[in-house]
Amino acid sequence: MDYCIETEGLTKRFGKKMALKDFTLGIGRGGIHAIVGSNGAGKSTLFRILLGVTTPTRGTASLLGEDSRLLSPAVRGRVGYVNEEHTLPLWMTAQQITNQQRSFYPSWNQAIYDQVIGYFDVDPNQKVSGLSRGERAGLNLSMALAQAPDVLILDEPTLGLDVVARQSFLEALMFTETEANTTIIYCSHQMEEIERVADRLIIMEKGTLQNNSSPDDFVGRISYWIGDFANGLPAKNTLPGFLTARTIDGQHHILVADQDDTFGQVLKNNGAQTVTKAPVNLERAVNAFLTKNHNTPGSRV
Amino acid sequence: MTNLSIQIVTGDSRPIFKQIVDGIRMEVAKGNLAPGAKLPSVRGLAMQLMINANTVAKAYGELTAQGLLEARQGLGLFVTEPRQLLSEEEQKKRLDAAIGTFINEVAYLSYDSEDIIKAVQDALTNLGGETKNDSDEG
Amino acid sequence: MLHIFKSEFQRYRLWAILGTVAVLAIYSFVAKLMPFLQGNSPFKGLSYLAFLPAGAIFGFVQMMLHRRTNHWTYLIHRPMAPRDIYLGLALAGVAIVTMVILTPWFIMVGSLDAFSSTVVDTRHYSYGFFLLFCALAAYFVGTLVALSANKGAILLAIFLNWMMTTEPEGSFLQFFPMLVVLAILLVLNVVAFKPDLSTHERRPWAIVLTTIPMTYALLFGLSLATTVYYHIPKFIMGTHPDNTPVEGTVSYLWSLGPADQLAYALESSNHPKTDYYIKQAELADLDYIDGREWSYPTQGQLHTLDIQYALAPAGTNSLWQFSHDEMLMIGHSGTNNRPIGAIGMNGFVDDVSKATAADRFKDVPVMVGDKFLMTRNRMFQLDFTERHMDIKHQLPEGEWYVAKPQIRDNYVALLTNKRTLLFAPRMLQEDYIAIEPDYSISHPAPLGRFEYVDTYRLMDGYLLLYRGRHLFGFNKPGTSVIHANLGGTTDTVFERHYSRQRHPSWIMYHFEMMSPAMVIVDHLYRSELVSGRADNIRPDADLRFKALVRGQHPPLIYWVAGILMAASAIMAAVMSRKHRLGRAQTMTWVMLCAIFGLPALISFFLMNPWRIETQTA
Repeated sequence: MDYCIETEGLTKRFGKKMALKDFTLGIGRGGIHAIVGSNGAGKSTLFRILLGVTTPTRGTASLLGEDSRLLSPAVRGRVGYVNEEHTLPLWMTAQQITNQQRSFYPSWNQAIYDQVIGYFDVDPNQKVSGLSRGERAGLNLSMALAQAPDVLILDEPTLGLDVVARQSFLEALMFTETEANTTIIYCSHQMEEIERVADRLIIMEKGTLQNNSSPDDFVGRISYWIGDFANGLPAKNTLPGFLTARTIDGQHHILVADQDDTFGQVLKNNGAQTVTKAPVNLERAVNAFLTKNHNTPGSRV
Repeated sequence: MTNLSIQIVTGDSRPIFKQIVDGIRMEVAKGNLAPGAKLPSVRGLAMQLMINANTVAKAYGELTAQGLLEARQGLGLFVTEPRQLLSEEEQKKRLDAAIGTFINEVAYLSYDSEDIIKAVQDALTNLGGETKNDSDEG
Repeated sequence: MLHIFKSEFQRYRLWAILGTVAVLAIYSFVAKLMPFLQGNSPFKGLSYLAFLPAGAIFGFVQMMLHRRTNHWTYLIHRPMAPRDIYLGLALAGVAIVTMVILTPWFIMVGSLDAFSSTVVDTRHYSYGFFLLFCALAAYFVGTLVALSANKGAILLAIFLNWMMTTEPEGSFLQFFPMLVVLAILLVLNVVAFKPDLSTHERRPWAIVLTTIPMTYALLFGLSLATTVYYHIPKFIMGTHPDNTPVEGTVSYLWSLGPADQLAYALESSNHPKTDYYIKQAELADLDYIDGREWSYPTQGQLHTLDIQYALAPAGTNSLWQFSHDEMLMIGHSGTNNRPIGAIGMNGFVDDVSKATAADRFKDVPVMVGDKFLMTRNRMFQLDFTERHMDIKHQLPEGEWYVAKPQIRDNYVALLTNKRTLLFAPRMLQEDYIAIEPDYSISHPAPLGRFEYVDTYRLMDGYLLLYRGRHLFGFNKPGTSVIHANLGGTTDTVFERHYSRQRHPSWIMYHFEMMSPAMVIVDHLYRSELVSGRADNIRPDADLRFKALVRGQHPPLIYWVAGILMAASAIMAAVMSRKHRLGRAQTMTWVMLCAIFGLPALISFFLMNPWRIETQTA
């Protein structure tokens, strides 16, 4: 399989902290891949290693088949990167930056640039320092898409954008007519965005890979059970696939992974008197997965 | 091309593509989408709903497999003449499942059987009633 | 690359313009206070103090601004080789530094050249390049400190010390080494500029290029460290030779009064007049002569090395400066700034255009006072009213002057490479020519082995007290008392040899002990290649260098040096293994530590991570 991003046993340690732990991932060509993880999950470290600005402690990473530590200018030209800061030279005007970018990237497509920038209200002669965050994000995206990259990595690009700007951003991202089949890697904390946008859902937690499937398949793995336990919740390790549990009004709300409908019986075997299965949406499923190893409050009303 | 007035909601426990499938089926059932009507392009519907085009493609694919839609080469996607693709056994299964869900929902209400049956009949009537007649031809 | 240059230059353009204007304003202000091209003014020192840190800070800030996490990714992640990205940024930095340094300088010098009567030589213009190269070296050190993972990158600032303390003869020897240094710094920057800045340099040639200057700088640092573990504890304990002078050493003299000094120097002398002299010393006028050899001016030298700016003969309201381009003294009237002639080897010339090749000086003379010129072996007196030049004093073949005349209450001292000549005090003021010295004392030891000479004026001549730690040879401290008789004869009263030194040998010869190889390299470079003056590490360098090479230092020095070199090499091998360095790097480090000793080992620790990470090969 032709992977555009591939890591093998990737490990990165910063002093005592393990940012990535034996991380193995392969992202194929095409489609929009969402990466979700709480802060400190290792997403930024992963990207920094992929782009070659950080060296892994162990393991390998490659972009479009090239080792990330030795990326050639040609490959760099085929990979776009946008993050929430939308870093751009503040002292140049939008027009100047665009001209500069055009000269760097031989595959520049001016039509795409014009199309995307049209979603945003950017004055070409204004210095970047005078642009609002949303305008900067739009300018950044326009240039990133106009480069016609094979891979476009976006790390929380809509963070801090107002509703209008975010809408424009997502529309531009999803619906710009590009000839290339650009693979898009999209990181976000906004489940609503992920639901709309993702073909595949990658979940990272504490430097490890937790999921790599379609979002619907992932939700299908999680089930939500409500049970009445007379003698309190049984120990976590007795329940297979246990993710999280909360106590609400004396009842225990339990989320588990990879269990089928027989789990109800398992709960009854552990002391539950009544058992109900409730529906799960993407946000709750992801949240449960991410908080698997976290402490939860003893009881909440 | 017919305009499609379906809605999708994020944060729902039903996947989006399923919401689209259900939404289109409801439109066909209600008669807003007549047989032979042309559906919006994948990209068009995606833009309307602000979702990934692949999800729309998946929904369209599912509906085509179910026989509700058909692709006409070079022209687009159209609503098929209604015909039943499912076997008797399968239809019975689905009916039983839907009844089961329905009973679950209303069991705790303070209506008696007669009121419930009446309500169901009214709802079916509102659907047009032709649904029942058309399915006999399948 | 040019796009990066344009963008980066645009970023700092406003600052560059402001800087240029500010520097020009300051220069103009200074020009009102004193002659702008005066060489030995404190203003020159201040300008280095301003430009060099400014250049370094600019380079540092420029790169640190790019080094911020997201800015760095933005900079590096583009279809351009990192080297080209760096060169674009550096070109902008260089352009800005050049603009701020050269433009005001050329404007000032050019204006002086065009609109004033000041003598302006090519060397005055080329000084701008000297300043520029120094500032660029500072700039590149600043960028390197920001970019390199080397914790000791700042030590490369030692290149600046190196560039500025040699006084080579000739423009090529002046500027070519500076360009070499700039090239080295540029190359080190280029290899430091890589996508992951936290990785350390592994290429052997880059390691060598970095380690050698670092070693040099660390030698100074190690020497400073003796303050901590030797000088301060000794001070605290009250046993430091500065507080409690050690009897039996030469430096004990400093703590004694004039008569006691002499008594000390004459201790155990069996000269018949010993007691007589000691008694006389109590009443004698005491003075001193500075025995340090000057740096003879060379043609085209940086004007900051000029010993005197001009001759301004009293009562004539004129100013005479020496032009290196013309090799003549050029005079201008003070009233109307018109040229009033020139002075060549053969005397006054009415107009510069009338000067012949024979008139022009072969060597640059030193201007003394307001009417004297000194060449290597002639001292000329100028009569500005009659416009003729006479020989005031001259030296025979093989002898030359080594210092400006030193004026004291009772005499004027003129030092040559062989003798000290004492003249009557009014010698310089009155117009006598072909003067002869009242006293002529041959040096008891070669110049460089003594610094200051005390003179005692007796009724029947002078007593001269010479002192030096290497007076009688390397590591052979001594004092010599000589009596000079009017008429030119001398009588050596007593030469005392001292067996004690104030400090132990490992303090005195600390540099040689820590890295003999580096001391050798430094001395060879300065004396052979640059043929300039002054060994940076110690003043009486040539002597100590020869002694080092011939094995005359105290044995302790050689033993410790050898042990340290071997231990450093072993440590380097062990640590290289731990860091899993490749064959080539290990070899390089072991060689460097074996040759240069402890400072090279310290460089190793600065140039490798302190925590041993398991790196992927």
